[in-house]
Amino acid sequence: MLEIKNLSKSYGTVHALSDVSFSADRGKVTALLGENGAGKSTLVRVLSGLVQPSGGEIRLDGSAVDLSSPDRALRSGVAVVQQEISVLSNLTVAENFLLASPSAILSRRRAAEWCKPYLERLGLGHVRPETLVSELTIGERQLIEIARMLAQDAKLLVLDEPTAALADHDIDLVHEAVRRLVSDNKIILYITHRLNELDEICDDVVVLRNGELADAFKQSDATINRVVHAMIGRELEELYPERPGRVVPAEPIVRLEDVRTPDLAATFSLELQPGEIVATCGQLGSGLVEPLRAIFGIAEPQQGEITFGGGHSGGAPTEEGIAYCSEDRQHDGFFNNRAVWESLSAPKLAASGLWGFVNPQAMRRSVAPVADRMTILPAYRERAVSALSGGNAQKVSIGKWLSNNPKILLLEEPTRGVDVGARAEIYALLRELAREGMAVLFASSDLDEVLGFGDRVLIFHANRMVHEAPTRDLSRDTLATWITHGGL
Amino acid sequence: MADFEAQNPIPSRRVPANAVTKERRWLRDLGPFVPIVALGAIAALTVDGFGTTPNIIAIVQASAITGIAAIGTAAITISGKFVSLAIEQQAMTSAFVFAALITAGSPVALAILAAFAVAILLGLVQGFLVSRGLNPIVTTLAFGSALFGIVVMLADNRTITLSPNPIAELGGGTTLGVPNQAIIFVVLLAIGSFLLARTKLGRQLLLTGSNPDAAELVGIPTKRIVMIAFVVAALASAIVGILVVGQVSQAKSDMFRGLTIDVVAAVLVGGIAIQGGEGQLWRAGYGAIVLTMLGNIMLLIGIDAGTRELLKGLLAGAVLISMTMLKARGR
Repeated sequence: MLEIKNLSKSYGTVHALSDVSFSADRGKVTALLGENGAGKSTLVRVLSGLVQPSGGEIRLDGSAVDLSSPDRALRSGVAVVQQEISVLSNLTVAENFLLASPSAILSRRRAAEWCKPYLERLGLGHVRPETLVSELTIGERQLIEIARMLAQDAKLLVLDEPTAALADHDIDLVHEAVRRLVSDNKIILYITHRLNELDEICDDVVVLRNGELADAFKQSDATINRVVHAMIGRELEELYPERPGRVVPAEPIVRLEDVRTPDLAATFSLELQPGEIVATCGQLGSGLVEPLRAIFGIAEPQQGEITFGGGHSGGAPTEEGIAYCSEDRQHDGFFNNRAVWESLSAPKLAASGLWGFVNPQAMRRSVAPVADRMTILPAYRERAVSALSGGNAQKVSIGKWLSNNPKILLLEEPTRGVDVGARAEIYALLRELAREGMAVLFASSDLDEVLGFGDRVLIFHANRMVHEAPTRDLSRDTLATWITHGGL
Repeated sequence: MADFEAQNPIPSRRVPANAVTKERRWLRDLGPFVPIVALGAIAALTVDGFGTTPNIIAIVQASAITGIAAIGTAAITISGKFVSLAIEQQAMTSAFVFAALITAGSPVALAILAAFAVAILLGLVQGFLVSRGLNPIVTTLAFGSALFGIVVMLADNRTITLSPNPIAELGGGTTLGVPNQAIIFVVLLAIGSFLLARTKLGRQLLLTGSNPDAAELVGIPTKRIVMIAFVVAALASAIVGILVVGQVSQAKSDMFRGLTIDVVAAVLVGGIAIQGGEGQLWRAGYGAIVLTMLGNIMLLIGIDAGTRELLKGLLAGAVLISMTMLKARGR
C-alpha cells in the first residue's frame, strides 16, 4: 500500500504541491486526475526521484521509501513510466531491456530469455526480443516501456498518461496489460486525461487541483460531474459549444477533387464552406491528416486538383490565409525558448517580409487582442512557451495564426494532452471563429471530440477515405466500427 | 514592458512551478559576469600594471579582432547552425584580396569593396550548402581547408607586404587615445545588437534558431536567413582581415592562426546558447574581452605559454558548466 502524507513541494513562493495526502492499495488501479498544472507532474517527479519534496512523507507497505535519486527510487520499488515513450527505436526489444538492467555486465545472449517472461506478462508474447522497436506499434512500445519497469521488480508502477498518444486498439492493449498487473497485486497510479478510462480500468480516483488534493473517491461513486467539478473547481456546463442552425450553403472556400497524396491509397474529394467545422477521423496512421496536409501544401497531391475560393493566386499557403497546426505542437507549433508574444506574432512578422525595422513593443501590443481572445493571461505572455502547461501551449499554437486572419484553419489533434478546462475554451473559441466565417478542418482520433464538435466527418481507414456523413447521423459505435473496419 | 508588469495580479499559486521567475532570469543573465568581475577586481588590486589605462586599452584592442569575428559568427550560432570553422581562412582570404589589390595600385575603397564582395560570395556558398541540410561544422571545416589551399596556391605561398600602407592608421592608429580597432569593434557590436532586436530580419533570425520547423511553417524563409547569417559572418571575417593588414602591413598565410578557436570560445564563454535562438549579441563581444583579459593577467604575472592555454581551456569549461547548471536550475 502506498501512503502519501502531507506531501508538499514549493519552488520559491510557488506551491506546486501543498499538503497532499492520499493512499493507494495493492491490487488496485488508482486514477490520478487534474488539469495541466494541478501538480500531477510534480508528484510524478517526486515519485521518480527527480525532485525532492519540501515536506511530508511517502510510505510503501508501511516503511518510508528512499526517493533521493531516480536510481534509488527504482531500487525502492517505485517505477515510473514517463509520458514520452523513451524506448529507443533503433535498438531491439532485448537491448532496450538491457538499458534498464541493474546488473553491470550486459549479455545480449541472456537478455532475450531474461525479458521474455516480462513480455508475456503484459500480453506481448508475440513480440520476439530480437525485434527492432521501430517495427512495433506505438502501443506496443508503450508496453515495452512498462515491461522494462516490471523487470526492475517494482511494487508501485506510476503510469503517466500511457494512452495519450494511442489509437483505440492500442489503448485496449494497454488496459489489458494494466489488468494483468493488478492481478499481480501491484499498486498502480494511473494518470490520464481520458475520463472514460475511469470506468474501464480504475478502482479509485484521486483528483488534484492547484497543488492540493481536491477530492478522492471510489470509482463506483464517480460521476462525470463530480470528477470535472473536482478538477476545475466549478461546474462545466457543456464541453462542446452548441452548433449553429443550418449553415446557408455558400461558395466553397476550398475544393479538393479526386486528390491523392503519396501516403494515400485512393483519391478523395472534399469541399469546405466558410463557417463549417469538419472533422477527419480515423486511427493513427490511417491517412486522416492527409487532407489537411494537402491543403497546406506539405503533402504534394499526385493527382487531382485543389481549387481555392476566389481562385488561386499561387502564393505561399500562409499568404492564401491558410493556417495549419501539426499534431506535434512541441515540434513545430511554437518557439519554445522565446516569449509567448513572439510565437503569437511570428506569422505576422513572416508575412511582413524580411527587410525593414520593427518595434518589439508594437509587436507585443499588436498580439494582445489575440492573447486576450485565447484567454492567455497577461502574466504568461512574457514567459517562454516552455513554461506553459499543455493547454496554454496549444492556445499559443493555434492563437499565433489569428493575427493573420486566416480563412481556413487546419488542426491536427487539436486537444491532445490538453486538460478538460482548456479544451472547453478552445472549442468555444473555434466555434466562434467559424461563426465569423472561418472554415475549420480538424483531424482527430478522439471519437467523442469528432462527434461532439464536428459538423461533418470524413472517415479514414487504411489510407483511404471510406465514408462521409454529418456527425448527427452517426452513433459512437457506428463511427468506431467505421474507423476500425472501414465499413459496417 | 511596463504595462505588462503592472498588471500582474495572478496569485502566485497559479504560476506554473517551472516558470522562469524574475530572480532566476536575473541570475541566469548575470551569472557569467560574477567570476569575471571578481577576477578583474582581484587582478586590479594584486597584479602590477593590470589596472593601468594603457593596459586596459591594450586589452580592448587585443579583444577587438576576436570580438569582431565573434559578432559575425554569433549570427550563425543564433540561427541554429552552431559555428563556422572557416573563420581564419575567410579572414586570410580577404586580407590577401585587399593587399593584392593595393599592391596592384587600386584605390583603398575599391580594394575594400572587392574584399567584401569575395566574402559575400564565400558566405553565400557555405550558407547555401548548410541551409540545404549539410552539417555546418563539417561543411565549414572542409570549405575552410579548401579555401586555404586555393589562396596559398594563388599567392604562390608568398607574403604580400604593403609599403606604404594606406590604412596603417585605420588598423593600428588611435582616436583620442582609443585604438581605432576598439572603436570599430564597439560600433559594430552596437549596430549588430540593434539590427538583431529591431529589424524583421533580426527577429526572424532568432525565431529560425529557436525552432526552424515552426519558423518554416509560419512562412519565415529559413533557408535565406541561414544564408544571410553566413554572409554576415564572412563579412565580419573580411573586416578582421583588412584591419589586421592595416595593423601589420602584411598579408601572409599564417596571420590568423588560432583565431577560429578563439572566436568559438568567445561566443560560448559569452553565453550565447549553442543550440541557437537565444542570446544577445553583446555576449559575443563580452566573451572576447574575457578571454583576452585572462590571457593578459596570466602574462603579467609571468605564467608561461603552455600553462596559459591550459588555464584558458579550463576557464572556458568552467563557464560552460556553470551556465548549464544555472539553466538546469532555472528549468
